[in-house]
Amino acid sequence: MNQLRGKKRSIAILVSLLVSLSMMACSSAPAAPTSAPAAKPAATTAAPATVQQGISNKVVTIGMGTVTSGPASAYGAAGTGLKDYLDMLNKNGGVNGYTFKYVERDTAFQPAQGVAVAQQLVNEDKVFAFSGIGTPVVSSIRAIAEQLKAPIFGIGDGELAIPTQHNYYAIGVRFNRLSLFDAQFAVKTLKITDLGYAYQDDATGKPGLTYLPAWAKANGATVTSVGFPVDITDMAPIANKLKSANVKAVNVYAPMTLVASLQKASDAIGFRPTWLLTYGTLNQDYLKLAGPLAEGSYFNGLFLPTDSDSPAMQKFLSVLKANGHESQIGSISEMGWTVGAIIERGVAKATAGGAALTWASFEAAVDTINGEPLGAMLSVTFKPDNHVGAVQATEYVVKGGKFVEVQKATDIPEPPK
Amino acid sequence: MDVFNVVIPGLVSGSLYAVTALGLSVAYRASRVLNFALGGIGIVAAYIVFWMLEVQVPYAIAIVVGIVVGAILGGLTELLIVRPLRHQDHLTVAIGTLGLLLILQGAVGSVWGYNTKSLPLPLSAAFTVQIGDLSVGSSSVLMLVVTTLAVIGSFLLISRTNLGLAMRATSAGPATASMLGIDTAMVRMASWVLGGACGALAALFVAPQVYLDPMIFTQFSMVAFAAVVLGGFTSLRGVLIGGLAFGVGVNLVSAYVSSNLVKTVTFVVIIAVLSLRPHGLFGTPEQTLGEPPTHDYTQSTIVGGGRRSRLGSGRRLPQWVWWLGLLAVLMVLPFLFPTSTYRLSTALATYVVILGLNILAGYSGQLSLSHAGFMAVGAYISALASARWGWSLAIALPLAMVGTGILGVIVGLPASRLSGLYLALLTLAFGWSVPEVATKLEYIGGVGGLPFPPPAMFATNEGKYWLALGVAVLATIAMLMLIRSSIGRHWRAVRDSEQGAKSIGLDTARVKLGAFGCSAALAGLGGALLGMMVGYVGPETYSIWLAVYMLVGVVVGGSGSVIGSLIGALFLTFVPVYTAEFHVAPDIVYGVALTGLLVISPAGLAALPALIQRRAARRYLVASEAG
Repeated sequence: MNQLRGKKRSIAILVSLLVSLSMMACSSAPAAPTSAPAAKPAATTAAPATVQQGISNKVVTIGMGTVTSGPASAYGAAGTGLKDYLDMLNKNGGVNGYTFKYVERDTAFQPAQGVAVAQQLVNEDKVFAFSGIGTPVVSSIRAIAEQLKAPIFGIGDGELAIPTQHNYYAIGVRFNRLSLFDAQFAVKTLKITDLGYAYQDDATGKPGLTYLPAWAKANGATVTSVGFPVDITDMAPIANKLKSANVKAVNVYAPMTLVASLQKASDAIGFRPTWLLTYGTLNQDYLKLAGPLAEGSYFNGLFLPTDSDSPAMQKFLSVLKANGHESQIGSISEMGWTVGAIIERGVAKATAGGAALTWASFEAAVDTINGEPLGAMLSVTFKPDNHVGAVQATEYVVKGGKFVEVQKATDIPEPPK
Repeated sequence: MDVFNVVIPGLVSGSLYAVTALGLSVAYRASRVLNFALGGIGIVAAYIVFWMLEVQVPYAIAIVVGIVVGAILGGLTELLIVRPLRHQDHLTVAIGTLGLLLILQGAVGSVWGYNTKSLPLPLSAAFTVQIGDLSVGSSSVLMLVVTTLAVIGSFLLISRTNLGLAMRATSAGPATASMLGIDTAMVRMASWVLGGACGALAALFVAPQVYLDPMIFTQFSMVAFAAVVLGGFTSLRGVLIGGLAFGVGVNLVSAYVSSNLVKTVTFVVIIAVLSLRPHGLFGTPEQTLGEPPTHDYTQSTIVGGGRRSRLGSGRRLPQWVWWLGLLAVLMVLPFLFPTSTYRLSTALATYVVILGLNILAGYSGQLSLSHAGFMAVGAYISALASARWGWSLAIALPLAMVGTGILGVIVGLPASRLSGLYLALLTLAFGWSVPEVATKLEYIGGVGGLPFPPPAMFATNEGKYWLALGVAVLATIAMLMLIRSSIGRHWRAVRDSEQGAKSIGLDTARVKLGAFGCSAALAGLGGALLGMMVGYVGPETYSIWLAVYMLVGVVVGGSGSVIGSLIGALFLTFVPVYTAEFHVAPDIVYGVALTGLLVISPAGLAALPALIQRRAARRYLVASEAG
């Protein structure tokens, strides 16, 4: 009897709560139905307002939504790269009289925290422009880009810059096209048509499957795909699946640690395909992890390899080492470093001839960067109707423990119609 | 596909699960405490070995030092966490070890950074055994041999030595063991030292297989926990067979079903096994002697802060006055701190989730690691309803709540038969599987997630805040009504003594089920609010760490306390802001707060003023009597 009364009361409380919730929210207008991805609001290519913030006595405040806590803390190296670049500019006297102040906040790689950090950077820290890292985080920031107004450099999937939003720039490639670049290299250059695609099953690895099967079919190739969680601890089953599918070349989209694990597991069962790896593994840490198994592996390159002799890489290495950040040298710090270089180029062009720096002049200047090597990135392109920074990639191979360029920068292919 | 090529590596992985689980099981046997800190202990040992190898110390010496470090840290865990909390219930002590885990992980990250590192395999190129086209490296052979020896050694220690006998006696009844002349403190210490050494040994084999980062061994040990609870946590045979079977099973599922459905399959298997055999395949019900309890649920435990942490203690002013005062403060906050309005609104949404978790952990005494999963389900339901189908938020939010509540009851069905570590495992597996399932369902956006733009009225930070405040007020009223009704009394009765509750005719399974449903409903509602505020719902948001942090919020704020839930939410929301400014890992702050509060004020920050007041009064009385 007591329980029956309790049950009735429980139902009554629940119903009251639901009714109250409905009444409270019922005055809200229904949300516009949409099936578009989160970060794809309507395109806004209109000229930005001429107002700006974050400049005081020719000191430009630049923000970074970095990651200093939680499992994805390694992404914090992007903040280090950006900070070191801005410090270097300041030491060299700035850009056309402008110097830079760096402010960072922790997103913990959480989308909710990313939105809070973006708002804090813009509304409290009053940054002129800011960057953020990680596809899930920059997805959520991209969704409020218009409201934030400040220029944003999102390190993540380039797809987030489609359609173009005047103040959002993607530092990266459209992930759903990158696998096509690797497949094209395998089929057209290496003449291999039995392809495998091994990917981390998340928002960075899975988009590679979007157009790959159709592209392969149109080009006389076959693709076997195998996804795996990013916290996998045994790659043996993945290696077995690829081996049993008799693939001859495997494109892997995963962190370098898992790439090396997959190569080791494959080697253990006598499976030795041609490996096609991504730009995130194009560094010496990967060579250490994979050891001799790295030899002969191919890489799509968006950023310079960290063993490159080029002046740009030497500058990057020397600055990070001088600042005591040697342990953070790698593709992630290269991305932040590149954001610094893009900001430098934007400020330099916008303020040429003594012109004032505004959001509008800065964005207009960034929109003129066309196929230029900037920071550690091999080729950066922004146009008023294209804010995907990487539209070209280079191909490297490991030879004698060094990264050697085997194909000059070429366009990343478009999917078949 | 060659099954052999899948099974052998599975056995190697399985042996590592077994030795990790041995570390958990040995400590559990002596103290009945699940050592969450083992992941941190192992990783500290692995990083120390990494550092020693960097400075050219021979591998053999480094590995011995690593194991010794693990043993010392195991002993320190007993000394600094388990012993001071020995009068608390076992769940509270386990949460104390969770605090230590956060401290160790944060410390490792601060010292060595978060970039992944490579730890070489021991004996990596000594020899290779060729079986068909499978090359079994010397390291794998070494792992199999060492782990087998470790399990056999432990078996002999526990079954054939005086120490083992003392361990078993202490496990069955520490008071009785003490009366028989057994130094139970020493036995417990020995068990934790041994457990720490096993954890270090496992970590030193696991890290070279994958990579080294501050959290890798915690992930592995959580999987190991699942493996051995299935086998039977209290049985060494269960530990070994469970570990090996799980290693092989995971590889077979990866190879023949899907490598990204492993967690979901694990969840289904766990439900099936624990429904049929609640103590695992080879485990037996834990035999304990009927001793008087050493802890007082109503005074000092996590699972039951209940009575002492209510706002204002209600002596001078009626409680509703305090609540109205708090509401007034909350209404003024966005005007005082306009730039923090968004953060405050996320804090209120987090409060609703913590309130829900408090129903389980605080009021009905059940540990849950599933609430990130419930948050995800609530967020997806409301995003679908609002953004995809175009329904009003007035329907979307209640729908999220009802849908998640129903799911909570479904998950609660097997859970209502379980308690302690078996319940923790089931909820952990549910929390794991939800994001994994979400990545598979393209209709809800798959890996890309779903958009959830707020309606125009709530698009601004102020709009979001007032909506969150309104929902939080309603949830608080509902919660207060529930805990003061017979339902709340039944929850507390089951929490304080399940046997006692049964003896007065309560259907305890039904009470637990109801708690699960209500708890999940509130978590779903909070998750929906948070999803709307972010404008996006994606699977990567709802990791098991989110559930752990929510639990931290409950404990730090005050379990069994409504106002404690709000304090916990504010703590979780604002600590990362300040830790980033001072370049301190938030995990260290969370861990220190968690363990510190458990020792000083187990009922959380909400009870701290009353505690200080009581102590001051006591001092005053002592001083007056002396004077």
